[in-house]
Amino acid sequence: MKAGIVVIAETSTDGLTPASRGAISFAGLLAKSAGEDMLLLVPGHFPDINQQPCHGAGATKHESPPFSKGGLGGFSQKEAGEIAEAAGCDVTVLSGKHLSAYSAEAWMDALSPFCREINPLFICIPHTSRGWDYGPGLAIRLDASLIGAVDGYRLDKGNFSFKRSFLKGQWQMEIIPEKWPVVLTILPEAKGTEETAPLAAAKSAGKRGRPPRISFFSVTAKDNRTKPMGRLPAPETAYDFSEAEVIVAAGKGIGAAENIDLIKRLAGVFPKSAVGCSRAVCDLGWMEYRRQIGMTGRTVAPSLYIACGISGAMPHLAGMRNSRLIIAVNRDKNAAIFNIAHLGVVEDLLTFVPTVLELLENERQENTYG
Amino acid sequence: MLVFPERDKFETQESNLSVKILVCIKQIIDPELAELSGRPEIKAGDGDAFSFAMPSPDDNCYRLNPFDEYAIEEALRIRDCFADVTVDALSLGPGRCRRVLLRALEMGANNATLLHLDRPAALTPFETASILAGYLRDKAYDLILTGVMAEDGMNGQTGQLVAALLDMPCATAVISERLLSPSGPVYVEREEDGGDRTAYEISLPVVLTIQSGINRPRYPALSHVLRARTQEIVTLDATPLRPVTRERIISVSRTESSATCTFLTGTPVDKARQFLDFCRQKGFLGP
Repeated sequence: MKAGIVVIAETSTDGLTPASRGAISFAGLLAKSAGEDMLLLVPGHFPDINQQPCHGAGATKHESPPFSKGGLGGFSQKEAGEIAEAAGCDVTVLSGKHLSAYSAEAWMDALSPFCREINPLFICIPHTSRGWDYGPGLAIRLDASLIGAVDGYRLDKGNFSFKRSFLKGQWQMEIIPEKWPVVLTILPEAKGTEETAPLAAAKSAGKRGRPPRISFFSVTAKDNRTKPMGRLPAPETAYDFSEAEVIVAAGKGIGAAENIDLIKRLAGVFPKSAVGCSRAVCDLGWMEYRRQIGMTGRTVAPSLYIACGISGAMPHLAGMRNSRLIIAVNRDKNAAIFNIAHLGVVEDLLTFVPTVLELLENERQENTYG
Repeated sequence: MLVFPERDKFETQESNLSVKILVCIKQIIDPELAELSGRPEIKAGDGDAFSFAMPSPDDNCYRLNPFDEYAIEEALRIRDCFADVTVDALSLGPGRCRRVLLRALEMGANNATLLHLDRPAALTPFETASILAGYLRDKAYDLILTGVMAEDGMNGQTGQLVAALLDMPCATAVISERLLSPSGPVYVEREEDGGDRTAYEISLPVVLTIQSGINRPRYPALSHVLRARTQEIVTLDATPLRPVTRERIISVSRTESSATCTFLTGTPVDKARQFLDFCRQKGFLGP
């Protein structure tokens, strides 16, 4: 089991998560640049594998895939085969009953022996609430370096550098690792993760010179200090954004709770609209959490998204960047939201929104009396 | 389908066992304040980090990381539930960081310690965590709390790294928490993508990174503000604890703006009119 690039995937009942597919695409480009093979590690609970006898304290390898009828906790033999074929990578499935519910300790226990044995250059993890939870600890266990929320890379004279943004997305830094392996958490929107990105980029690069292989390991639980207690759906998910053609969203830049009314009035201008907000607005108690758009809130993609006083930090962008048209209103011309907006209005909201409403009111009166 | 346990089961009880809590807090540059005053210049540093270079240092550009404020509040709420709890605050950085420690004391923390590092350079999360873990190695804290991330660097890694370096379990993005007894375990709910929550019981000692919105941080009471002025902030030299770096920041730059954004120009009325024309043209304003 050798590879220069390892990707650690997450699965749901629908199979590989979109963030995992993004990380695979990114890793594929990295593999091509580095001229290295890629290997996909898929931890989870795949019951058919567990029924196989398991020897020793660590992992047991199964030579033939003990799958039955496709379904394996959301990840199927078919999907494993497809991804191996498309990305030209080996797929290694790690199955254990204790991996059915996520916990950082259980995942690190399962993953670190494999990562140590493979000893890759780069370990790519999707930058999700899980990846970001266990990634740093995994890096310490592997004595690795760690670069988080990566949104691009550059290869210059044989040296890889990685880009990430900070200060609400207004600034970018470039980091070079000085210790190997390197654990990277890859943003869903990192360059190279687009669906059009060549998943097969790594295919031509490999040096193993044999078809990709799928292997299966039963992993036994180690004693640990974290006991999963279950899963709760997001509180109050009832608010429905999906009907709205236009979403007007408020950020901390609206300044005060009483200005929410202005945002609601602006939304009222559009026939099929809804009002949303950033996390900061919820934390301040200005709006309910069910209206939150972003990484820990709802993901929306309306025809028009109007971002009012939203700085455009990564967690918010994750929830709205696929909107068809984006208009941003912010008095800070450097706000990161303008980087993804189609139309930018650099103006104080408390001036701009009332002016819009007033113009419309004037038009209405002209139409009535004119 | 997992049946979620009743919350009542986790009501905390009085007990005489002591609990030691540490809150790790960071002083950050306030992006808005810094931006409004045209500062700071952020430039690549000399060597292993970059620095927030301040042409004329202005303390008003700095403040307590808002996520850490939730961590302090959560620690104080745990203290309210049990008989013998101490809440200590710890920060790392130059002398100006005493201000955020003072703020923690004003909110009600028992003790405050500054790990002093003179050069005003931004450390990588690994450097920060190694220094904190070096200091904590012989301390016996039951709970170590910190904010889910710092608003400036947006790494969200320091808590997990400290936990791993000290071989402690860790939960990130904690949105609900109950210490079930002074000897543990602690019940936590962590927030996942989309707002779903996963629940855990974790034995002590543990590191928790606290998500914003878990509580409403208190405003310091006058009595605490007055008391805080008399409290000592212990200062220790952090230089010997600096590790060999594993990552190096080689450049810092403005995020390049996209070529696709068209900025409206003119007076506010001009902009409002263009905005409405655009919406009407695209058919969003109805017939």
